[in-house]
Amino acid sequence: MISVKNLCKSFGDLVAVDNVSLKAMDGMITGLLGPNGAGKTTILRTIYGLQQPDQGEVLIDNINVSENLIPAVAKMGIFPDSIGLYDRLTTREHLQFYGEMHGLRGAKLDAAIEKTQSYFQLDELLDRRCKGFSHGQQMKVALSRALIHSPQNLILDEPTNGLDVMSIRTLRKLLFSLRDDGVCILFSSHVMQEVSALCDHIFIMAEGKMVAEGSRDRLCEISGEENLEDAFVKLIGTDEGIAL
Amino acid sequence: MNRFWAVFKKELKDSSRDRRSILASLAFSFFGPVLMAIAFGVIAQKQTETEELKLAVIGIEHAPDLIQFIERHGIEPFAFDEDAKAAIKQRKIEVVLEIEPDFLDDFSKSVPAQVKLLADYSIEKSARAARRVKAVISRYNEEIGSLRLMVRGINPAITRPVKLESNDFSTPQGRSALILGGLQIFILMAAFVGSTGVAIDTTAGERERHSLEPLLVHPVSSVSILAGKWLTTSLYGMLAVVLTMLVTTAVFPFVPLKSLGVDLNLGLSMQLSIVALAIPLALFAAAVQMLTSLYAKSFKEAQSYLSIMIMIPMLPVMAMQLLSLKSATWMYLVPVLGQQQLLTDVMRGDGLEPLKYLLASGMTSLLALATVVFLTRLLRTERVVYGG
Repeated sequence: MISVKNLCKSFGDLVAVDNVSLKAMDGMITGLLGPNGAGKTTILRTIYGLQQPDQGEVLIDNINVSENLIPAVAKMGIFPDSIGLYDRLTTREHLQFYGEMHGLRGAKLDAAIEKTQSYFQLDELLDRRCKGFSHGQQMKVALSRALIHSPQNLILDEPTNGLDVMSIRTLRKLLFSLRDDGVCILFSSHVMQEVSALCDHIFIMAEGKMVAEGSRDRLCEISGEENLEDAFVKLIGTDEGIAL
Repeated sequence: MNRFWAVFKKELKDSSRDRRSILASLAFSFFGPVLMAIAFGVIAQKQTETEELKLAVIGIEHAPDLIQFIERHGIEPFAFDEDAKAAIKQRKIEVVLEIEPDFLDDFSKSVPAQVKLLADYSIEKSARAARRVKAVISRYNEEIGSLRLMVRGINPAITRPVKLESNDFSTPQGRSALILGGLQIFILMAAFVGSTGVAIDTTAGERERHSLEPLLVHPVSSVSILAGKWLTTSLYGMLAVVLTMLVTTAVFPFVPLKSLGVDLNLGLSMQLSIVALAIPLALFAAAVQMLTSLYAKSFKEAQSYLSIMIMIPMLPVMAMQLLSLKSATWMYLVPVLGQQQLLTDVMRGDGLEPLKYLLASGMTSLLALATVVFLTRLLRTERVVYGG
């Protein structure tokens, strides 16, 4: 479970996140939807502890991130803003290394690699160095990196950016099955279709503020619009920076 | 500890696959000593070969015996009958010897027979030639004078109340200092240059490739990450020092060190001592270069900073030589300068004095460690991870 309480964060004069609270429950897919620059990435970075909040706190399974960063991070699988693979290492070496970073070793590590690579059928890429991988291939390795230790909480920053349709379908199926296994999934996106297709619960952000939250139906209800698309636009106040 | 090893293994694997940049950084260790050996070989050759000197002689036929004597002393006389002054001014010739027609007459009568030496002492080459000719003629004087005395039954030694033997130490020692100083610079620099590429790649490079953020979202302490990176980076510095040592040992037998006045026997124990004293320096160089790179905003900026930083190892050597500073105990406590002092001791043949070695290595390692501790504080700051 991920719980963010009264988060504030400014960069100089710019207020990036203004008193935001959100909760992502186990066994649910929670979406963070907002136009580019709404503060989604800042919130996620604060959740995984690389940005310090000016105010407020973040709890991961009741562990405070600011106070206990390493134990909190161990509970998360993170697909950050940047893919950042090592050109000279193979896919397997990546999974090995990050598995070791999670404390996996020996047979457990091998089993974890075997399981993780099956999610995106990485067999062909497994022993190839990452230099020259297409964007989609890189994304798959990076997603596998987040899943290597079968995390209880999964945090994904724009996970479908640049993925082909087939891969998006694979990712969707994977997220549904993880959810059904009780994993807490939080992901950000500016793509409306994706959020509405995947999420059990949606938070809508604009200009650093939380505008609305709820299920699809609830959001339509709040906005008084029949259709989800109109609901989003109405709630955010503009359709700028949002993709259908 | 396991995570530290994992980071170390990964960094080593990653950096060792970057063949080009490894070759580039080790090229210095290879070509440095080779170029130095060639340069000193040339100097030595210049010094040992006597410059050939042609001596223009006016009236060469008047003193055949003197001319033969001059020839035997490595100067080539030739007949000359032009304007001596003009020829020297125009630098066609360096020096002219003019022999009077009644030279033989006076010579046989034991009256001082006159010769004139014409030179322009404001021209360095002419002055040098004149000095050489003068020296030969005065030796001729001595020899003939001695013979004349002996013929008259007198020991020629009585004409020499003082026997002067002059030994000039200045040049060989100066050259020796130059050569040893050069070698010191190469060894000290190797510890820095060998690890520059990796130091940048593993810090500023990691951020620029966007792989720092993914790494930091794993449950691994900053200490493990930086210790792994630090150890890897240091290893390249050490490798460069070892390579410099090996190449130097391989090429120095081809340099005529003796004729340059250098007394240096690069035996195994000296090589091991040098590597031993350079290990803490490599640790220090790696830490300082990583700190600089992490502070830099980009890969390029880091490169510019580090290319300036490479001057640091030269400073102590130059300061010691140019300012003729005397060695002092405090110098052993300053990183780089301390190693330079140890190098001087080792090259002088004194070996590593345990106390001084501990003093220099302890302090250098301690400062390196402090730098790494500071780095661990820095690593997870927003400024480092996201720049700005």
